[in-house]
Amino acid sequence: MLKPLLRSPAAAMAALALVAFALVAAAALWLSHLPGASLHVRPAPGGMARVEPGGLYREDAVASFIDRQGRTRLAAPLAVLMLDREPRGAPTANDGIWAARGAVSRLLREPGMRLRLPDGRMVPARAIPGSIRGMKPGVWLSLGIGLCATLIGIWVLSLRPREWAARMFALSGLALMGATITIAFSEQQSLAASVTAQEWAQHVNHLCADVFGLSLASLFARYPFPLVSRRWLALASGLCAMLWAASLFEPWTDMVGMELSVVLLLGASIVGLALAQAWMSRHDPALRAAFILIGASLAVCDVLFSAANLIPQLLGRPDIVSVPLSTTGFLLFYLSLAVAIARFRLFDLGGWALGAAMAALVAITVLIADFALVTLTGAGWTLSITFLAATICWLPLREWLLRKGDRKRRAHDMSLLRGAGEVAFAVRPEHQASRWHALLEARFAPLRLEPADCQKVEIRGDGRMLAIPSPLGGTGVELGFAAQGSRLFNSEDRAEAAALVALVRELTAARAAYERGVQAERHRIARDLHDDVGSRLMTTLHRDDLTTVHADVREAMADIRLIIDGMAGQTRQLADILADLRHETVSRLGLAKIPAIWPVDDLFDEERPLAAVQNRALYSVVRELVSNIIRHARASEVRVAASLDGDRLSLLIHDNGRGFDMAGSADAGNGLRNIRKRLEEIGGSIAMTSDGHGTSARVVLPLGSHEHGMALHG
Amino acid sequence: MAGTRQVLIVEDIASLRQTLADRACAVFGVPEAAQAGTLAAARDWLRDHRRIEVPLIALVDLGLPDGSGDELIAELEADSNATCIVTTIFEDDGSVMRALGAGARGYLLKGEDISMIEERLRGLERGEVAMSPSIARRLLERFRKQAPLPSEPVVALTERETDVLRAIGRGLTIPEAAHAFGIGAQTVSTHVKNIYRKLNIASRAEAAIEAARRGLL
Repeated sequence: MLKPLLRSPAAAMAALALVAFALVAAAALWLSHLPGASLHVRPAPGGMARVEPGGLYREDAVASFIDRQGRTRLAAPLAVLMLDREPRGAPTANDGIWAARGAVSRLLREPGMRLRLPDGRMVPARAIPGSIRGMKPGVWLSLGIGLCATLIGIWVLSLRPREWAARMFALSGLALMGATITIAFSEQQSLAASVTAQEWAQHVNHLCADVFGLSLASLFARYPFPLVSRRWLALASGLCAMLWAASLFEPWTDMVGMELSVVLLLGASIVGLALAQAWMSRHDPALRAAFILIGASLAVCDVLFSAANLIPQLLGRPDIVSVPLSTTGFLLFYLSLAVAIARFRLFDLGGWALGAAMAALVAITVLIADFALVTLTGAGWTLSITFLAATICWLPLREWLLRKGDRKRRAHDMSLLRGAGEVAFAVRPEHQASRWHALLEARFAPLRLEPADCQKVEIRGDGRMLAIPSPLGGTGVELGFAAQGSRLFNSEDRAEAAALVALVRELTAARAAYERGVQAERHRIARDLHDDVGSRLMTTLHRDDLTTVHADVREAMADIRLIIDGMAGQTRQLADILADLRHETVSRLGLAKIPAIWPVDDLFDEERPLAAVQNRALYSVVRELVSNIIRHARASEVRVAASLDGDRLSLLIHDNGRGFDMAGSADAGNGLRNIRKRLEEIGGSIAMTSDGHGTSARVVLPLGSHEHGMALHG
Repeated sequence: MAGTRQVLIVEDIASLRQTLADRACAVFGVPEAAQAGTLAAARDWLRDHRRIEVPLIALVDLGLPDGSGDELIAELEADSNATCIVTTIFEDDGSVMRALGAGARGYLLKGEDISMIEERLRGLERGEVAMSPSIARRLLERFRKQAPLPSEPVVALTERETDVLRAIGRGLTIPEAAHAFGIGAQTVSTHVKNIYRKLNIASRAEAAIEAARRGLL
């Protein structure tokens, strides 16, 4: 019962999400119990320390804790009391700092304790009990980010539980949650917080940063292409674990700096591996889209975080934006990565990703320029914050607005096109006119619509009227009072009306061209029926010999079949046509007991497409000639030879019959006239010679797709 | 002689049916041929009058008022003593191929002169069959590309059958092909009939496979 339930992605996700919620809730509860303090010491620019309440002092100035009896219990430089600053000195110096902070946290619990500031003023120094309401917004933000990251990780993991990428991704989400809890702690902590908690928060923060970096590096090391073997990944993880374990015992100076460097190194390898994967994925559109997305969001959050925190920290300056706020950037990257692994709507995000990447690029350029200025002049960072905000927020926003506008315009264009199509393709002319008026009514909602003369679209009566010529011919119309009289016609309306008129004209012209094509095809069929079938049946009508009548009817049927074939408009290969023609000719002559000799040569393999008109002309001419031979020639042998010279097909048909008088024989002459006409129309010819020993017909047919072939198809 | 053979003409045009029946009686030497104008009438006759022990020659039209002659041809498959010939107005490759696939052993063009039809019937009696170049080409193509899956039964043509198809496809008549191969026209006709039979087998196999795929069997 439980197992199948857990196997379902939704159930697994719900269970894991519940655990994550519980963890974050527990962390929040713990943080809410942290004691606050009546005073805070924060770093300020220029080696100063801001004491609240109090004022600005040099950070190396000494302050002392004075108890109720007026005794000095502890004296320390203000720098030691700046909790935001992690101790980065020699191990012994760091021990001193931790010892001093531990002493302070105990002193603050004694009643009546005060702090004497370097200028001699005294401020109360005591612990304040913590409460949920006393928690800072940054704490909630941090915890929220951690929870979101974990939930995203769980989402991907529940979708693809067996995949390496999803597992590494979920692990990184968990690590990010751990890190955000420690970040929340450092937000909420005060001088009264226990020093053990402070120390461990720092260690856990480093551990989580390591795990986060390692899991993402492992992800890109093997997804989608395995670039680095698991053994190397295990080795790197082991190394990081050892370094972290060593940092617990502070064997060297500035372990914090070393940890920061490790994280930076991991970050660099993540970027490097991601770039390598992107390069490997460049031929796969889906993977490419995924990497554009990941790359863009990585660039955005990297710029944000480096500019706001990492670079200032390395330069020893205060953060520009508080750490919790700048970690939100990670969520962006994180979501992109989740989307890429889960393969969720990648196609929609490509455009957004490109826009975001552009914004990041601009931001980086601004930052570098600003950084150069700052180092040169020593001025503050204020300018870059504005620029950063401008580029990161404004550019994507602008793009989004543009797209939205564009989409609206496209929908508008589509409806224009549809309306114009309805007008142009109306079945009857009077429908066209009424649909045109209906279209204008729908577009402009005028109060009245009256016939009016006009040559072009123009605004009349200072915008009260819009005159539009008819795209269908005839008088135009004048629209009065746009949008039910609520506004005047403007130049946009004029442009739209002009576009509509042009559109309807073009569509009407296209329809006319199509109809001309149909007309031409109808004309061809009608003419073929009249010339071939009609004339054949007409001749038959006046015959008495039933056998000849039957032959005529059969030929008329064959003609009909050719006309039907031509209607399908298919092109056939020369080889196939010749084969069919040969088969038919030899069979027909064979039934008439006339042996036929038509050698099967290379021409019967010629793959050359013939248009329907050429096909038909070839059939008609050969059939007619063979019919004549069977009926009149009294031949005892027929020889056929076909040859191809470039684009010209030649057909020689020779019989050894009695021949015929070229001028006489009205019957054969009629059929021949039709054939000659048809051949001439497609640029071919027929030459006949006849004497007492036989008749020769030479037919020449050009096979190129010339004008004549196309003209009949309109 | 009555009772040595049965002849059935299935054709919806009455005059043509009568002509075909007369000619068939003369050619096949039977006193009378059964006539049916619809599929239903043909089925009735087969149920009531078919004597399974004597050979049956059925000339079946494709376009009948109550369906296509293909159906009847396919039904007559079970009757091993029956020979079906398709009659059609035009040599429409598509329908002729379908009829051959259903089990027809040849085709007859109704558009031809009646004396020619008679000649063809005599040819049938002698064991000759018709095949046009375009049908030969389609058959070649079909047998060449069939059964890409190893599990499907392949109905293969022999080398000689392929040669025959190729020759007819290039425009040779059956006597010409026989002459070209140095064999009798009778032998070429046998090859053609075998090709038709194989097409029928292949079509049946395909139908069975299709049915199995759709879970009908």
